Amino acid sequence: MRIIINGLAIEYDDRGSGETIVMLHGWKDNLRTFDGIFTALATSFRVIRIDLPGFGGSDAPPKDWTLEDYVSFVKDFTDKLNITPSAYAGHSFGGRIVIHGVASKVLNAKKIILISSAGVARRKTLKNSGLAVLAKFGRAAASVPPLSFWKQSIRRKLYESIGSDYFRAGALSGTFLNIIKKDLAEDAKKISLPTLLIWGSNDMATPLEEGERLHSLIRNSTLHVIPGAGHFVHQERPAEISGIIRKFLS
Amino acid sequence: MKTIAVIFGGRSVEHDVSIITAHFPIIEALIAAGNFDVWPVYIAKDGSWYSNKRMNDLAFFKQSDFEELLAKDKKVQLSFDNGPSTCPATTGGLTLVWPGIVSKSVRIDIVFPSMHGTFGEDGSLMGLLRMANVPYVGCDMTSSAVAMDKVLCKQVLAQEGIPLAPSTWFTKKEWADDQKSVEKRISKLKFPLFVKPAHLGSSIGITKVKSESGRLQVPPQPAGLKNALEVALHYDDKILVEEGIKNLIEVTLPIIGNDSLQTALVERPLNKGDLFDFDGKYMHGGKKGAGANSAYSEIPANIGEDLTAQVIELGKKVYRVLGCSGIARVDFLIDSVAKKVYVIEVNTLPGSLYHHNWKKAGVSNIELVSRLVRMAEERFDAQKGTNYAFRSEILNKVGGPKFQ
Amino acid sequence: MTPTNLPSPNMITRILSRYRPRYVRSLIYMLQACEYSMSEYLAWYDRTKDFSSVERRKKLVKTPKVYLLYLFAFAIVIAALAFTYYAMLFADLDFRIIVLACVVFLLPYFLAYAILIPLALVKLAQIPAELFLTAQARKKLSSHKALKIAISGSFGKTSMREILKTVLSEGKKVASPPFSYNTPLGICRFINQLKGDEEVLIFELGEYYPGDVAKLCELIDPHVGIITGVNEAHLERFGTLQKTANTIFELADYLKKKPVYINGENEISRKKANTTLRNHIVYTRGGAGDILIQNAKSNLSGTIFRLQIGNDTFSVKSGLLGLHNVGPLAVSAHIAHRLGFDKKQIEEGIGKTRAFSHRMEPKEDKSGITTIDDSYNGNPDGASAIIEFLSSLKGRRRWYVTPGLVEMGPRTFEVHKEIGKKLAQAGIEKVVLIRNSVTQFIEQGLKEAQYKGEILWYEDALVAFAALPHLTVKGDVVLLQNDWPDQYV
Repeated sequence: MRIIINGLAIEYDDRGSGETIVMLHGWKDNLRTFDGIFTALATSFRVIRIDLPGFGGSDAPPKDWTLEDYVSFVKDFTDKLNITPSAYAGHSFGGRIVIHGVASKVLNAKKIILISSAGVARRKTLKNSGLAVLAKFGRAAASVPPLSFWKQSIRRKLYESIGSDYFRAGALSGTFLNIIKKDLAEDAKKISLPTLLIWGSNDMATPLEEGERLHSLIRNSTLHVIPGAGHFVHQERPAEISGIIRKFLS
Repeated sequence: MKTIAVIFGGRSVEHDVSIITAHFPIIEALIAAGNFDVWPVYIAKDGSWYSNKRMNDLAFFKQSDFEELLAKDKKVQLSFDNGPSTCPATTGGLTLVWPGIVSKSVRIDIVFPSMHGTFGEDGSLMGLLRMANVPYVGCDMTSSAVAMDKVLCKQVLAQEGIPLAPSTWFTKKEWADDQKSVEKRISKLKFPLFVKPAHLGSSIGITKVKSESGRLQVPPQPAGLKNALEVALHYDDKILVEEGIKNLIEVTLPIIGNDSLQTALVERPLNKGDLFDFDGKYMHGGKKGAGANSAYSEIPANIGEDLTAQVIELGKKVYRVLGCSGIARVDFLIDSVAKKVYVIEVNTLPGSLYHHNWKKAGVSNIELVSRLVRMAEERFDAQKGTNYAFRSEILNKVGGPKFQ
Repeated sequence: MTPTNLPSPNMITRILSRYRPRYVRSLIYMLQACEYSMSEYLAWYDRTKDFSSVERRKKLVKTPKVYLLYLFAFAIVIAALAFTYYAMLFADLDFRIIVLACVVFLLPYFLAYAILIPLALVKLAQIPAELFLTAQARKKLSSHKALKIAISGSFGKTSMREILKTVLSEGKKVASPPFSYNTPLGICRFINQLKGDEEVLIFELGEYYPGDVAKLCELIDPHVGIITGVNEAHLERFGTLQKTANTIFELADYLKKKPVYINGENEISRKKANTTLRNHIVYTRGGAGDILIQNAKSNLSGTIFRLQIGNDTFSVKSGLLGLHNVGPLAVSAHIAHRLGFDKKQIEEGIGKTRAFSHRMEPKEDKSGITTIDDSYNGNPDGASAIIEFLSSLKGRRRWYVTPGLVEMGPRTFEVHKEIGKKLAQAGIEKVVLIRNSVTQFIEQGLKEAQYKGEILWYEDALVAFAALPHLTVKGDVVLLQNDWPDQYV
């Protein structure tokens, strides 16, 4: 169903009753990413899944958003629905929102769940800031003929070679750069809420070492490693993951 | 060999569906028919017009970078000037022009509009083609415009005694100025209510409201009336609020023809549950019977002879009242207990022409598109007989000194 | 030079198509498409004038062999260029022009043939290994206890094999070479994989040249033979039907007094059957030997008939389409009966027979259109069987889609005209013809028989396949008969 938040039409899904869990998906994903785990949770919780602005069935942000914008969006959403979530769950990019939102005390909850969360990649941050520079430099260079001729294909090749979502981000490319600029290690240190970290051992996008890093940064955290699973661990092992979350929340 | 332009894409939320309709069945069937030179005319999301025969293949649009490929193409322009002509009745016409040092042009004999939603199905494109004085397939400007506005459509149909679900409507301005009176009008309707943007072709922005407050019951219901109105107002400035029908069976009937009408089979879509029953499913906006859903349809609908006959009779009447020509699809709601049939809305360009249904009714895709083309020509020829131009002396008489 | 002497643009395209980089790929693709059969490749090369769109049905699969060929082809091109370069350096002007012209003109042709050299070398190197393999297989097979059934014939071998396999599997352990492994080497490979506990082995004997079948008989030493019939298939290679018949009947000659089932519905094989002096059992839709068949009926859901074995009469239902399958089913029942199967086993075995892929395989889509895929059927008897079946389907609009048959040699005209006549007589509503050298004869046959339906022409089978979904409506039956692979286009 839809709701209007600050002039943006937002698609969301609201099921079950009990204490409220708000689930936030990753980059280039949508609320259906949690299809496998929400039914099992909705039997004892009220599960609300949101298509974040720019993804799924929701309108795109009117300008390039920052992580803060996404955090305050989530806050406005919960206000409009008049709910006080007991838990936030975030996958990948959704995890960033949860970390930053809880650390900055904009979002309030009793517990948080981070699934293959992004935000504390050491090596990657370097690569990403490099990428931002490269993107600006490249854009200028590529507007000069004859390079301009192959502009699009050069861009694609470049971004593909460094395995970035940036190119595919399309209209959201500015937002993407805003988001990846931010390292959330300081934020993670501020979190005192009971935190469940769920990671696949074969995660290539946010490798397990990032999960371990978060585990050491967040005081009150437990790390669940799912052997053999990848970045979309909640889709690969839905029964297992919903079981772990259920246990953590009860 | 007739040169036919299929116009699709467009600046509407149904841009992608339009591409599918244009290719399957329209372009593919026109090519398979063997007697058309088919020019695909694609309107990009930014409003640029392109035409290139490689776009006759749907695979072109499946490439992730097709928009970049297109950007390298020369845009196409439309020219209404058909060169010097001695006979006034044949002046005008449509020509595709690719300007440049070596400019190229293709004269179009007939147009097959394949655009859903805003600008395509609302009469805008038809008005353009009418000005160009070129025959085009499907409903004309007036019927398209009326059918597209759910409120206006209901008003016209009500005037002719067509059974409709009770409803009310308001504009964005009215809502802003006098919310109370709008709320009062709505309060006279019985829940559940459907809140719909008046001009949107797809299910985007439509909300079913089961009670005033929304989320009180268990399991949770969609948010309340106020939220639904807010969502609808996000998409449109004219809103229709309509009562739901009890014991609901939803059916639809595609019809073709200008004067003598042929109906396809009464079809009962079974996946519309998305929209009318939130409990089980997740609503995904923008879905429009694009042929893809035929697997979820019951064709013919198992509603008994009486109701089927009623639907067919009512469908034809609606088609005539709105002045449809070529093709249209009429949607109905049936109260299966009271055995009462209500008309809900009219689509002047059914997704993929509802070819899956026509096939079952014994009309192949080639036959369907060929007949639609013939109907377009017949309508065009019939209108040629009507004289719109007349000479008057008024310009000479008005003001100023006379030179003669 | 007058304009009429100018080569047509079409011709220029043809000539230039040999100079595109794609030309090499096309050659290699074709070699792969005809499974590295040199004769097929050469026949195709001889026929083809335009190389600009060779690769249509499939894509070149990059195997090590393909890379090797690529390497070799480029080596030739480089060698040719190097040669030209040196010739330019040392030769005088006149000679230079001649060398240049020769290289430019002949290189594509030279390349097309030279590319076979590595293949020939590989084949040569394989000979000792093949000899060893054959000897081993022969030894293994001669000590194998299974009942060996050999099938020869111009058509219907695979269907016969599959029917036997399905029915006999009800009571015995049956094995047969997969796909169309019907060459000596293919059969040997299969034999070497056998476990030894198989009770029935079924072999298809491929016939390409006189003596082929006899050679395979020597290798297999079958106990029972089946001859499915003789027709124009491979006539281009045999030259006369007489030669084809003799080659196929090498099986009967080899088996002497042992049982040989012979298809009585095929005129040539029926005439050659000798029931008095030899143990030849003629089979038709009326039965096989002492097994009688009555009330056979076939529709889109399958074929039903009553089977009489001795005093026992019972009904069976097969999933196969068309009454031409009844004879082979009778053969399977006959063999099963002799192997001691009871009534129930035979009934269940026949009940399990289904259409095999691309052989009269019916599929109904969600619009209610039934497509019968008979694209592996490329012989005249198969064509008349399917036309007979279609004519029995009443109350449906029927589409017959065909590019004609290949390798009909001197009988090309008659065979195709006959198909046209049969289509007209059967009252098939729509005939879709792919324009090529033979389909005009089908049209001629249709016209001579005063065909009442509609003939639709398409330049290309792929275009026709793309058009069909737009032509058909619910209830239509579409038959796709024979699909020419690229090497025949």
